[in-house]
Amino acid sequence: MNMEIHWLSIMPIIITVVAGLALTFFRTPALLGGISLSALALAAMTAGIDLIQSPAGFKRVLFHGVVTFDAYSHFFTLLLLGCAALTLVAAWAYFPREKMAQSEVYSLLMLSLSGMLILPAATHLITVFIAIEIMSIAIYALVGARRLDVKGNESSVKYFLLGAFASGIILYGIALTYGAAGSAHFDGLRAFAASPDAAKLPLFIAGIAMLIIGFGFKVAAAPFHAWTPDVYEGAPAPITGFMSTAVKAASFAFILRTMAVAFLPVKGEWVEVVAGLAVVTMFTGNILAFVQGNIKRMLAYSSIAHTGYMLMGLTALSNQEGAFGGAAILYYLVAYCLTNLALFAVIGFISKQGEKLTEIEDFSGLGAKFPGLALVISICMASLIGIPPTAGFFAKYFLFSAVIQQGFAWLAVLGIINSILSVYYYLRVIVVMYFKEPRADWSDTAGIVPARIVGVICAVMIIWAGVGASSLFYMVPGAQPLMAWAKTSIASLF
Amino acid sequence: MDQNVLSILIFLPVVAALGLMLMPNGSEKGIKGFAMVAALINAALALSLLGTFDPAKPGYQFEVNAPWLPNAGISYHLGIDGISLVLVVLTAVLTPVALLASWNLIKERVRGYNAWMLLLSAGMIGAVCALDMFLFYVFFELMLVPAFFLIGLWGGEGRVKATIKFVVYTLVGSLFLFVAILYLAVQHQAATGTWSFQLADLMATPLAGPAMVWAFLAFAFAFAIKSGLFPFHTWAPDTYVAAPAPVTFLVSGIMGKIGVYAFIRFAMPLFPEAAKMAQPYLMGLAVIGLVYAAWVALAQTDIKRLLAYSSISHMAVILLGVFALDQHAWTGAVFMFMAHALATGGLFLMVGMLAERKGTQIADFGGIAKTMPWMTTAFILVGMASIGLPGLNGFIGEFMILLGSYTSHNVLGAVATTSVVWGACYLLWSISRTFFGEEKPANAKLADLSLREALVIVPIALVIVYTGFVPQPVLSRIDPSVQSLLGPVNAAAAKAAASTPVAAEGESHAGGH
Repeated sequence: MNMEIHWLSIMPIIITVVAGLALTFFRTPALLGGISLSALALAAMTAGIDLIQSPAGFKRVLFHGVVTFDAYSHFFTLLLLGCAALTLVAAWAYFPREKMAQSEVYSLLMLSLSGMLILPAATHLITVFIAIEIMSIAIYALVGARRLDVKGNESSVKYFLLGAFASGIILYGIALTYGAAGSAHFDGLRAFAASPDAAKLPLFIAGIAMLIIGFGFKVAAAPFHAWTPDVYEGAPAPITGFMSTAVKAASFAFILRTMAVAFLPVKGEWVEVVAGLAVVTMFTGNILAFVQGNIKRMLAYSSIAHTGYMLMGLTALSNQEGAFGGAAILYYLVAYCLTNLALFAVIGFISKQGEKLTEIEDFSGLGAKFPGLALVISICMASLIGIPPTAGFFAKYFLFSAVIQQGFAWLAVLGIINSILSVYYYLRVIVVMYFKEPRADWSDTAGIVPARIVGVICAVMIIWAGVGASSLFYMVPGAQPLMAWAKTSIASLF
Repeated sequence: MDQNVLSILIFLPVVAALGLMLMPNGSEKGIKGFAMVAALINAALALSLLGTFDPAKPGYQFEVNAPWLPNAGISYHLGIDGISLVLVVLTAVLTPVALLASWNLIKERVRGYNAWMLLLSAGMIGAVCALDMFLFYVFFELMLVPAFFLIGLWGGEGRVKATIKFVVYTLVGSLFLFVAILYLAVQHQAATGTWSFQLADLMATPLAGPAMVWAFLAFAFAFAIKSGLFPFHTWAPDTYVAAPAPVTFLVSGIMGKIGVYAFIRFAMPLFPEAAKMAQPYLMGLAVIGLVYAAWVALAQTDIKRLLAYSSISHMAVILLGVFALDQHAWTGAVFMFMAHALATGGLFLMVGMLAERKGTQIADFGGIAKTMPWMTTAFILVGMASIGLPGLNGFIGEFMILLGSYTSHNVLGAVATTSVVWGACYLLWSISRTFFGEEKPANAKLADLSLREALVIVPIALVIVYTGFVPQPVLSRIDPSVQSLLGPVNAAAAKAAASTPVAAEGESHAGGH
């Protein structure tokens, strides 16, 4: 165990915590936004510098092994910071318009982010638990941040109650696995899991099962998804965007590390459960998304479906050379985050103050009125369906080929059937926007510029992460370099 | 130049479409002119391929093979043989024709319309040139996007329903294709240790057993939907009727053919044994389709809908030729790509012109031969080509297909021959009711073909007559390519049948379900 602290690695977390606390002292919206964005930029810079100047395959085990910083944790650090930054830009004019308590909202966002940043690096179940709580409690509050909105309050309470319940289950899972393995440290758990009797010990398997249930709640996997549509609908649009991207990415970050590092030796015990969970989740999400009239609810069910796709990738998790189920999940997350950030940024504005226009039919004729925004939404929908050459298409390609490669061809076929189900409801949005007469009046779209910026950035990135080539710009994704980066990140786990 | 000619053919329309987006909205003439010039340059370039393409050389020509996503084995691999040559030239040449036909028809959002038309053309050319399965899939999907907007935004009655049906149906098919392609690549990776989506590499690692049958069925499903094989054709009549005439012209004339082309290029050569097993079933579907669609056409009162079913019926003839796995039939099928595109496409365009004047209900017309002699002449000429009158190009393809199908399955071949009769019935009957008979007073003032309309129809008619009398230059480019594709297919299928007769029997049963 190395007692020397590598400050650069933990800097992003420290920066977000300090910024989160400091923000409570300010009241001016511009100042709040400026400070938060600068903090995010600074955090991203430190993470970037740390990543670049570290040797390949580095592993920094800190604080008696409760956290480990490596290429994997840095991948998520940068992804999460990106999500937070885009959310803040999208919300720049949204928070004042909705008359939300600004310094609290900014501060809570940064604090929840600090919890998220710990998650990908956590290598001890107690660290995982604490980080989940730091992330979640701030999010519960953010969901209800429009204090006078009844729906928002209701969904906040709902989210909190179910979230607390899930935390309890995770804690039970930790207790059981600790009881069985005698350690809650990932290395200890892995050593125990590799021993021949681990798979036969009911206590241990039950513990893993409880952890999977708790994790399932956090990523909105069926049948633990019931909170999702109500909370997504009730939360302010940019916060919904933040939840569907950053919270999901952070949750997958620790699930992946936990499953890949601690419980991989007993993969045979859980892989079929996860495959089943993936199937149920995909079908639940897609079938229910079919009948939604409200775009936020539709996207909530769609996010459940996408959780299902990503869970498929978990079945292809393996430390064999050449297997890239984990890397496919990372790529998928990037593609998915881009679409949802753009969509919720745009929805927040065209739905007008109080988010009145959130029915899909309210988007009628948007294509003629706001061609640019409609194009952004269309690109996002195409990416969610998986039409080439968008990032979503390549995400599905990487994911499905990883799954087929691991011998789960039937799972890939079920995934495809689900993609087919999803075609209709995503397409419906495009059809409504372009082929129907305008119904709603979008005259009050003051302050839409920041949301537009987010939309355009994301749309360009969605295309670029598909067809982009590495030779043009080194740092900008492109399917090839992005996947290569995801592979290196995943490789650092093993 | 030889190296890049295919890339230019694909990306010139894309660049032109992007250029259109930058042009101001008001200058409609400029927009149409710009798009037309781009399309004409592309057409000229494609025609020049006819000269530089060497019919004697086997294999692909004008090849480019550059890495795209090297780690995943995905490459930008283009190349054409005689079969793709026909489709490339057709697409590039028919695009300006379609734009010309749209000239006065499209009055709203002209800029977007022209841009989507160019992109549609680019997607279709790309799909036909791609020799990497992944690249092919990308273009195969990309064709959908322009078609979706063209039908949904500029279509007629029922356009929204038709677009959704069209896109959902074809996406459903291609998603299964996607899994099958991935499966092939994964098998290739397992066998060789490297990733590749190149057609040649995938053909070198053949599948066997149930996996092969499933993969073939996934391919066949996608291509059957795209080409409108019975009973996967139901999207087609709605789409053809709802789309504006020039779009129907391209979608029925070329996009459907890309489904057939994909059978020839990918499904059959990749899985010859499965293709052989499925052959009787597929031929059966084609025959049912050609008779069924012809009968439905007989019952139509709307001439656009009648043509839609006529097109489906003739597509079934082409598909029959492909499924016959016979040298003559394949050559005939590829020849009929062109004949069908020109004949059905030409008829759709003329119906579009009639629709501008009057509508598409047959009952509203009658006796217009007197007022529109040129239109009548052209319609009859193109119509005769469509039903395969000797001397016109429709005859050559149809004859070769029927001959080949009869050789490989005499009963089905014989039933298929009746298609000629059905075709004559519905087309002659509709021509007589539309153009001849008692003249309605309301129709006395209909204008005959305008100069612009004549410019659309005359080239089509000329090519129909020319290739009808002198088919050899086209056939001589198709035949060697067909030979080099079909030879291995039949050899592999025969070898498999000889080595494992029992297994083949069992699997052919599985393949039928």
